[in-house]
Amino acid sequence: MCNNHDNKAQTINRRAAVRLGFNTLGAAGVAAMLPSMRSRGGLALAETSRADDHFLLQVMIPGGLDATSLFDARPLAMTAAGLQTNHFGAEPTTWTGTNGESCLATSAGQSLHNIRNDFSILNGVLMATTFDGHDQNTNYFVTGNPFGGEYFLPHLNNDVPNARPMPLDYIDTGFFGMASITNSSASAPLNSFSARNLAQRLTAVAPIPESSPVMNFIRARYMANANGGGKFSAASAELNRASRKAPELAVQLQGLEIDTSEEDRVRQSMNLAMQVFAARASRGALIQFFPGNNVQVDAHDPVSNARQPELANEVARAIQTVFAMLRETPFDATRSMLDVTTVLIGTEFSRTMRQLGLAIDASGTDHNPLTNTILIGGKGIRGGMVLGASDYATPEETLSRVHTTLDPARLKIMGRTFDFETMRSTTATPASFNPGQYLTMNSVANTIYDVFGVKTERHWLLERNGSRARVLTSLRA
Amino acid sequence: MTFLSDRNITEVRNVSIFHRTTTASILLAATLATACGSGNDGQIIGRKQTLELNNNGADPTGEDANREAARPLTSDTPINEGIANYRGYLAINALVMDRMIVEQPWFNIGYYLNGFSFSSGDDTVEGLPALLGHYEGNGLDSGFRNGKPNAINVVLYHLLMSSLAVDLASRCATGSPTPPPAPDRPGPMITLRPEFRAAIAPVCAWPETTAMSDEALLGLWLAVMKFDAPSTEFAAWKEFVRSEYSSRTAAESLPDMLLAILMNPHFLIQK
Repeated sequence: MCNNHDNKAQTINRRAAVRLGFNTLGAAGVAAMLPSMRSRGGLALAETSRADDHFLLQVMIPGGLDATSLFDARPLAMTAAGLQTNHFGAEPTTWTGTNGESCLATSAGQSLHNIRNDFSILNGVLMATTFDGHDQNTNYFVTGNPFGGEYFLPHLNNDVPNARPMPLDYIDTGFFGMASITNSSASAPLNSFSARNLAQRLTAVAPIPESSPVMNFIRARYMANANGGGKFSAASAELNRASRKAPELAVQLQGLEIDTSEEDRVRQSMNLAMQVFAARASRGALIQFFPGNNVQVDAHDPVSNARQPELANEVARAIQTVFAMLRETPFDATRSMLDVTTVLIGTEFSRTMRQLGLAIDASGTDHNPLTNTILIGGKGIRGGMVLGASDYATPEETLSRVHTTLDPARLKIMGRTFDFETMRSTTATPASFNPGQYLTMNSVANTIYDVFGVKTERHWLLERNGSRARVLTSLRA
Repeated sequence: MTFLSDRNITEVRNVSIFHRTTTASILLAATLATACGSGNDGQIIGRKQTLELNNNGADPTGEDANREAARPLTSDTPINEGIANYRGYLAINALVMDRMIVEQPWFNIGYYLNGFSFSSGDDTVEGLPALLGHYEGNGLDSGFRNGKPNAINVVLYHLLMSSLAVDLASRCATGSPTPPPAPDRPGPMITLRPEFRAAIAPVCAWPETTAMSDEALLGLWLAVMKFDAPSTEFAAWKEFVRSEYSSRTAAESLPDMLLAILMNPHFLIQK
């Protein structure tokens, strides 16, 4: 723990150094003072500061990561009672948030203690409670609808009053194809290799010009063909709009300096994401992280489940990397990347405590959309807090009728009811399900909308024709 | 459940394009071109009627263009709804091979995106070409990906088409069916189809009067566009090239002339 505090102090000093250094020495001076800040990815600083410099970095861990492996652990008594698989072999310890709420963290979770103020923990987040599939819950995670729809991220770019939209809504560094997203037209599945090749090619060949006789003619044809009511005309209109953004984007992409020799996939993706942020080419970036060498996050099999500690430690290291790179990389003369980036880290759902018919130490785990753990931090977010909790904390706990209805086999933990006035979970045991009484992904999405200033009419509804999910106001920085 | 974690490919593989349409001959094109006359009277030389068009090459202001572009959408309309897709990478590649370049197993137009760009034998598209629109997935997850026009795929299409146009136009300099390699790449890459060579040959005399004739220009237009666009598109293009490049050489003019056809929405977008 002492080391953790030392690291924290170092963190604060480095971040303060970014601000102080830029104020007194300028970018070049800080680069000399903290060489690593300029060496990672060859990142070019944003030359000017703008009020709408606000980006979203979403880190997705596909497969359904077990919430109990990090910040929503269960006591060993649950394992002794034959209820919860546990391969950590040690009692989880208490993690107390700055808001007084607490949770149990495994050793993997506790390894993030040094950066505890960089993010807040949301436990007991309900996903698509009536669907167990990866696709449906991934859809729900990003669109609020198990069948897919509009991803929240493009609205951060297009529905914020007084913010100038960036050329791209988001880049997808992992070619994220699982979700059915209907508003992805201004996104780019761009990984480091593609970005490097594109930058090289745009340097070798003159990129699309702002203005030239032939380009003006081409745009005129797009405009002329937009004069109709059909899909072709709509596409021509989009071509026209896109062709006007393209020159700026080409210059931005031309300037990317991607080091593809970086073997750490997270670092590689982070380098790319931060470069497109610094170039103001994209409002967001979606990074997929696949932990484990041949270890399945989707641990249906007992072998993968037995290796969850190894996997959770890898996830924790990736989280360290994400925040460290954001913190240590300057965005402009006065701000670090973390100062301008909101970070959302999560998976599509958690996992069951065990499988039926197998010994507790030989069991895999299945899908559990009744709870999830999401980490949120960065710009606009107050870090250090713990919000929400899940039930089945002890073998003796009496479960609500809602729980036993949704989980008759009692294999799952479920998010507890949540009081949005006090921003605390409660121990109420309702008989019927009302999503407004729970912490749901809808509230997480609306909180992100809130900190970006997205129009309220865009906020996700709790259910069809229902009210809008409430914002987690205590998370506002 | 298995997740694909990486699709970075480091070598160019063969292309296998299925369902090719039969190549139309330039003779047929010339015959129809004669039937269409100059094409500036609203007659249709494509297979679809479109609305009367009135902007034949003026330099539009950004404001007008943005107003125009914003028209189809309302704040409650999903961005992708009701918008046609690009033809996509494989279809555009097939058009280029059918109409302009002799198909060779080691070449596809993704080459112009710096090599990390190919389709394998099962028609999967990876790397940068995947951003140009393609079918992907299985069962309920299948669909056309990245088909909506956006800033990045316009950057890529321009990159690809401008390079292709330079290669196609370089035939004028040598008279050879195989243009010389560009300085930044090894070896000759493409061989022009005989029909395309026949169509571009008269225009190589640009700015001679014969090269600017309706017949020569329509021959080149149809060699690339075939019958995918209305006559108004040809009329606009003809007026543009005659006015803008009347005093330029073929080397200066032809790449732009070809680029203007290759970037036309009727060439790029599904109908």
